Amino acid sequence: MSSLLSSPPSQEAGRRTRGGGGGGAGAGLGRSALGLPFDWIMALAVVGICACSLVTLKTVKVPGYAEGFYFQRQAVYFAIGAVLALVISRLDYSRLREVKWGIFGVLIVSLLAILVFGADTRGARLAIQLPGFSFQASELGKVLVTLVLSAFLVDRSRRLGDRDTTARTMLLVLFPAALVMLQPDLGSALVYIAIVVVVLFVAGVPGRHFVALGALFLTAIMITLVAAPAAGVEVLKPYQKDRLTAFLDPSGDPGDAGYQQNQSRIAIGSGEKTGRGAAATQTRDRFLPENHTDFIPAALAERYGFVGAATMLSFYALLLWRTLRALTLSKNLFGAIVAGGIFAMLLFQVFVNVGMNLGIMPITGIPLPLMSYGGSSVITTFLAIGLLLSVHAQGRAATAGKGRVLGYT
Amino acid sequence: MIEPTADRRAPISPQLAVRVAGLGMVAFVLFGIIFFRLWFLQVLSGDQFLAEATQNRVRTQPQQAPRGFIVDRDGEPLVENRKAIVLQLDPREIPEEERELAAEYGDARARRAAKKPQFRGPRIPLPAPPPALRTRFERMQKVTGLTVREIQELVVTQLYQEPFVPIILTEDVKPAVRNFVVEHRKDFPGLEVRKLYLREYPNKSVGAQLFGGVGEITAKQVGTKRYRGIRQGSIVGQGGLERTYDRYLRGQDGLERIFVDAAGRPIGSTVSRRGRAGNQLRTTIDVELQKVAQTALARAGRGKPGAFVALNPENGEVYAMGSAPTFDPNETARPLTPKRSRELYGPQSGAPLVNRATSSQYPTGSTFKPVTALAALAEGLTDPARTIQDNGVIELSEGPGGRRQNAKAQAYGPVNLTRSIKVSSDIYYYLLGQSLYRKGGRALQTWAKRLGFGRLTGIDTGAEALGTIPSRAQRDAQNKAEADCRKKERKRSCGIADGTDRPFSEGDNVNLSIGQGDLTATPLQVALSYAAIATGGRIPTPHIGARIETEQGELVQKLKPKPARRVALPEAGLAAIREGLRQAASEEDGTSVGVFAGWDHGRWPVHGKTGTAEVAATGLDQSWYAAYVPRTARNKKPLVVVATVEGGGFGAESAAPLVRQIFSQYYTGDPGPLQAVANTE
Repeated sequence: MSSLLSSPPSQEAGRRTRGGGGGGAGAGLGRSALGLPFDWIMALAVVGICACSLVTLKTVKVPGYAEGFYFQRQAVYFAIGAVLALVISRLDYSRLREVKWGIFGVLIVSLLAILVFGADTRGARLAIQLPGFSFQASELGKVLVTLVLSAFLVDRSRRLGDRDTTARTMLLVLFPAALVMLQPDLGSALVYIAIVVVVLFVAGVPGRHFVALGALFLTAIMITLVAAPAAGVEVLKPYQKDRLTAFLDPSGDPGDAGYQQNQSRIAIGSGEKTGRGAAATQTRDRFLPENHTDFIPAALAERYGFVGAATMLSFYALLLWRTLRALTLSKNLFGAIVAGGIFAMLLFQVFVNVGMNLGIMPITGIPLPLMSYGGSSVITTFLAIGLLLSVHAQGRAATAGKGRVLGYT
Repeated sequence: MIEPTADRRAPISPQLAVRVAGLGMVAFVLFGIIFFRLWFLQVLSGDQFLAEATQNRVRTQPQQAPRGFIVDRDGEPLVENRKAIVLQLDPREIPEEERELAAEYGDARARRAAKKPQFRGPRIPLPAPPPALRTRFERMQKVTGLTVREIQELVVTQLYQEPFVPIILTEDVKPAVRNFVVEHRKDFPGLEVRKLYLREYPNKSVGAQLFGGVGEITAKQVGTKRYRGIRQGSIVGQGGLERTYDRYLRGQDGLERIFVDAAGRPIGSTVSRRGRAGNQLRTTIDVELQKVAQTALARAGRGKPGAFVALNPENGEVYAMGSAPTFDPNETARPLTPKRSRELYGPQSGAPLVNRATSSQYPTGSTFKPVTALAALAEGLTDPARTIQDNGVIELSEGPGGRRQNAKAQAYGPVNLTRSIKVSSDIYYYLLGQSLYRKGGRALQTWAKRLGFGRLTGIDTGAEALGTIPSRAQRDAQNKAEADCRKKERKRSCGIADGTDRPFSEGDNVNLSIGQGDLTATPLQVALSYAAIATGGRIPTPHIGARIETEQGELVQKLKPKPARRVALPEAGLAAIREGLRQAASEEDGTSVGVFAGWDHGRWPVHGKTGTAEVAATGLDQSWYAAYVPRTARNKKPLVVVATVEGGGFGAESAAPLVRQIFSQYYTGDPGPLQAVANTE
């Protein structure tokens, strides 16, 4: 571990100093830790989203499972996640920077383990079956990638203008992203990409690097979709390509990918202003596929209409606003970048998932954070929330403690 | 406080502030898109999607209405229903490839069947199903109880015949199998479970040819006047009484709304339109008489083809009408294996489905003689008192064919009109035929037509043969048709005429006078001509449908046949003819007196005429007997019976004993023994 950590001495010193000055924060949850500021508005947003999820899952019936199966399990995940988030929010996230290579190691090892030991479901290896829980490393990876990249960029914060920094950061993310693609989990890989872009952006990498990255990205797309198939190399599996293009013409092939999206649109549309309540047949009679995971917003929109869907989206908007606020409040660059990465992770997933439900984005298998049923996704999102709360708490504490920038809350 | 880390920075740099604002803008725009789209879907076009969602889960399926029964005159069921769960294959789910195979196979078989047997070559092999279909058929093996080959044979044959009609694979499916198929709908694409009412015939072959079958409405029938408002897939009558009285029998199909889940599994249903059961058709058929007559035909005809009809001469009610060989319609009401289908419909089958009483036309032989007599009487060429000398042989004209004789050249001595019918003197009628020809005009043809020959009877079983009255015009048209056909088809013979271009001659008229030559008629037509004699010139429209009633037998509507046709018959002559017919069956020397030995002629005076027609094509004699018992002071139930047996020999040999049994059953309720008495004409 120590060989991995080649932190400059100043940091070591800083840590020691802070450890003393923090009054036992490192030793556990001391009195002062409990007294740290807490973002109640963000908590409200999270509780709101969780409530939406549980209310929707309550109505979902899946043959072969007892009624309320998903509701109960999701509630348990929420409870575990909430405790985790609360604990993390009382700790100083900054110390995670010291163990960034350890985190990276965990990330890579878990992804490799999935590839080797993963349980096959529908031709993909996405999860390891643990007792009572199936562990999706690519989900947890979303937070781990954010932490590693943030720490890496903070280390190179004086050389952010170098092309080298951007290139290395990209390489750092491309490795786990490639492993995730191999599972294959295209959606999570795209989330990683979204995270790295925003992380670089928040860290302050010059604009020309983004232009270059954009050009590179466009070239890669062209190669994947046009050049490689022409040369006989298959990068995307046919079903992936179908899913990516089906949203352009959902009624074109009502049998497969287009079918799901069509049913989702019908479900949402039929909810009208106030929802169909118990008569929500699209969900009840399972015309809507995956109505407890990827298509849960459609299930909610059918049952509770525009009112319900708008309420849910408002909670997300609230959460994202509080995320940006934590970013600005952060006591250090690391916190700001972590908050930026989490912001990207949340916004990207919300937009792509809801967009997919609304028929304006392709089907990529991205869950809606906290809404979609699934332990890995819920726990991961709560870890992120915990980090955000920690960034907020540390930032507010630092400002208050120093008495500087008064009135800046 | 001491600076905690090297990471320490000012709370927010201007650059970061700009970038955070950028992120906020991106989020704002993305949320804007989502909200706009959500508003568009839910608020602006919500009703449209709601309609789609409703439609998604509802399937409307017609619910077949039970078809009305057909009962005999006493309410005894002739045709009933039976509920059956059938497994059928939706033809729309069959790939195009299989359709093409079926078309090729069907065409090849049709071409082969058109050839003469010795040139046919090997059987056309059944095409193998395309691989994708084969796996589907393999899965179906267990639920249908059929082999892949049998399924393929049913599918291919039916696709060729009726490309868009569901293919019934099995019926009377067990509930467990039914549930399995419904639960595993996805594994059996195109396989449907349907509850059907199938026709059932409790008396098996009794009256088999009268009813006709039922079947799905064909593409051609949809939208025609007769089937107005009938949806595709409905069951309608496709022949016989079922077709004629279809609109009463079929009722109205109900509509069922079935709610399904995403897998297509039914999860509930409501009846959106209640079906209405069809009405019952009460017929004029007397089922006991029909049974006796069919048995008698089978026994008297010794398995040869034949037909009989028994009707009321006054109102045209048909009491019994049958045809041999016959079949069990219970068999044709369900899917037939192609082998069984060949046995029933093929050229070797003897055409059991044909109702020979109305659809087969035969030379009538001497049963035609009363018609000749009536024509001559009306033309004044003979009168009841006129007597000729019958030496058994006569020289009508010079040359070949001019010399004619009675059957077995029997001489009957002095013969007047009455005796000519009683003993069936051909000589008497040869002379009438000759003089009718020589007088010019078409008196014989006109009278034949008046009495119902060459004219559709209008019976409600449909599918009637017209018959032929040979005449100058008819012969010329026939010759022309043959010549045209030979020219066009470049064939040596078309079989329409003999090709000698022989015009209608005196000899032809002489042949016609005794019911030979080109004359053909159906047994029903002969029966109607005797009805005219029995009633003194009234020819009713024969019919089987009597009334439409509810299931409980309450009258809904009386069926009114077309009014009877009236023919003015010369009275004195008619009496002489009737007397001849009476004597033929009851007095010494009569042609059928032997058959009616022991019959109570005082109570039920049988008037009968034998007929023995030489059938040119087979060289066999066709046996005929036409008879009636008139209304008298002691008998209030007049009855006309006509029977014929192909290749049955003399009239008295097979047809007359059969007719006696019908009379006997009708009047005494007991058919009595079958009296096979050889007798000459």
